[in-house]
Amino acid sequence: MIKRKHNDVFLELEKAQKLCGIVAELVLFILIVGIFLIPPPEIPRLQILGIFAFVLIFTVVYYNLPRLYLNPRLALLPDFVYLTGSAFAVMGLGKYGSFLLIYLYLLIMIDAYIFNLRQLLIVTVVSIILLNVVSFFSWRGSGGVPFIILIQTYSLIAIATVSRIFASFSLSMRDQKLQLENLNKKIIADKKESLDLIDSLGDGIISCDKDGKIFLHNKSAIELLDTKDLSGRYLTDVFSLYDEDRIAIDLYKIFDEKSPKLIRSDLFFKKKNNWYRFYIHLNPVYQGREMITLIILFRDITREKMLEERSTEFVAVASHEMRTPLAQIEGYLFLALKQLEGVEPNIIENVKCAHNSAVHLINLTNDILTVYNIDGKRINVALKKVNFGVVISTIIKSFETKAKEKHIEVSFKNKISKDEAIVTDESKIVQILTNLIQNAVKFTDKGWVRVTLSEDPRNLIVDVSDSGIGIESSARSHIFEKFYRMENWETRKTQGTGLGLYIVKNLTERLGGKVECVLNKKIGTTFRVHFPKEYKNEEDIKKASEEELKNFIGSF
Amino acid sequence: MSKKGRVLVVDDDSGLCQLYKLTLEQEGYEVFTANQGEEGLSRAVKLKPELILLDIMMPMIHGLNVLDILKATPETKDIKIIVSSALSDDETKNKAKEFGASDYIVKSQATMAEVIARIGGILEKK
Repeated sequence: MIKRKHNDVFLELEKAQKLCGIVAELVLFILIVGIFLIPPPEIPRLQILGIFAFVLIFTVVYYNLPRLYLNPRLALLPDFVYLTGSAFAVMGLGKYGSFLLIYLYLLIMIDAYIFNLRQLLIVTVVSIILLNVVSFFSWRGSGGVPFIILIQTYSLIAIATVSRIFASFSLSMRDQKLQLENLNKKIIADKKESLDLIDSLGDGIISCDKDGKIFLHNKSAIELLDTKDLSGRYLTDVFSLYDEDRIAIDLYKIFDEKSPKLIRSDLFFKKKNNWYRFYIHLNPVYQGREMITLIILFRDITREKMLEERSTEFVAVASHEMRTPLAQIEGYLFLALKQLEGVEPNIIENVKCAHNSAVHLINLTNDILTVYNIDGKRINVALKKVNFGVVISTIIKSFETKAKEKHIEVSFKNKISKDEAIVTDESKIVQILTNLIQNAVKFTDKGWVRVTLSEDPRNLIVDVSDSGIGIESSARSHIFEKFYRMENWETRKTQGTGLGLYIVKNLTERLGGKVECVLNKKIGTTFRVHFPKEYKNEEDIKKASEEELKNFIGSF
Repeated sequence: MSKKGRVLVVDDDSGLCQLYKLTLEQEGYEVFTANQGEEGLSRAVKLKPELILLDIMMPMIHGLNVLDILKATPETKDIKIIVSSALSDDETKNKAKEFGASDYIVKSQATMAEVIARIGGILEKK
């Protein structure tokens, strides 16, 4: 496109030059013939003939070599030659109103016409009239011809030169203007193309400057935000987001230079009194340290989130609803076992298997529910003073029967003061330690399980060690992951969900502690759990004291 | 067989009632059942058992209300009550404790053997 337009300019230039050339040749031809036919009285003939010959040769050479006449830089050259040549001729002939003066006038007017320089045309016409009037009177007075001819000639040369410069300048300007116009058209087309692309996106896009003023948006943004127009409005007016607790969020304050890109899927937008969950992708553009633009990409994920929540909720409700029938199955099998005692040893064995499976199923349901609560961050903590010595003793007692069955020794060593208690959640502690001791008993076929309670200045430390099968170092980094089981699924000997240690880890961390698998040199496995002596989670403490206050008031 | 004590089981699930009745009778308790809160209240007043195993989610009267009424009535306020429910959230547990329940059992989280042990433990203390 641009190239073709560019050529048009050159064509126009070429046309102009050609026309000038033809006129020049024609006029020169007439002049030469004229001089030879009617020789003026005092003419240095040879001199003028020399000039004409030079101009003629130049014209023929110039207009027959496209390399010359198509070069814009040389556009002024022929005019210079003709003007100078004409000027010499005029002075040499010393005659006013000669062909040469007319030729000069013609040259200027043709220029002005071709290059559409109307102002120049007017100036030229006016100056020609003025010059002629002045020279007519001056000539009459002085009686001398050459001086006034000289003035006229030089003035005309000056006007012609200026007109030529203007013409050439205007041509290059026009060329540049055309180029710019084309470029602009292309930019507009490109911009429209990308805007169309942005518009066709299902996600909303908003670009704002550093003050939050919107300068770019797409159709989806308007639809998602349920508004008419966005450009020029402020982000805070049209796009106010809230967190789960319905507290307004300032998008400009939730990211910093260290984390340039930010993705949030936990924010809400209010539209016609309904809350919509939005996925937000914030992309700030920095110039140096200062943020100049904030690009926001967003989409409505209300439906997806609802489906996701529904499916997890289904798992929770299903496992919850399974509890009552499971309890009955387990209970009746337990009852059957009691009633069968002393009779039919074969049947007892069968019922025992069924009872074990029922217990396993119950544990599975409970684990799934706990994991559901952990993953949904729904673990509530009920704080009170907990005596670890007492808790551990009770748990160990509940494993006595199992330990006796497997002929392993389960012992507890308390290295701290018997009365020492720390503030934490007792039921969670029980759940954590039961899980660990249960695992130890499960994976130990002979030998012992030892539980040790010790302390350092900041923590209570519980070690659960066993002389069991141990954990390979390759498995060590995975054991706290959800659904990880050390054994092969098909060849496993022990029952388990692969959720136990995941629960242990998450509950311990919820209470501000940590759990680790300590490397045992010789035999078995040791799990070490740290519980902070000083409970740190402010929110839990606040809630606990509120609860206490409520109970206190309630007791009156 | 000498009776260890009298236990009233209040649960809208008749299968579970029957199970508790059979199991606890096997353990040597005298067991009565009630299938809903109101019946549970009247039987508690009439029979004055040593212990009540009380469900929470029941039609008509909510288990926690039954608990509250029992503890507020002079004739029944000394009866030990174990709440047994499928609800395992801390809020319900705390409420039950607050209203004067001696223990809280999450159905199926505690096996039958554990339920028996807890009932035994509470009645022994007395």
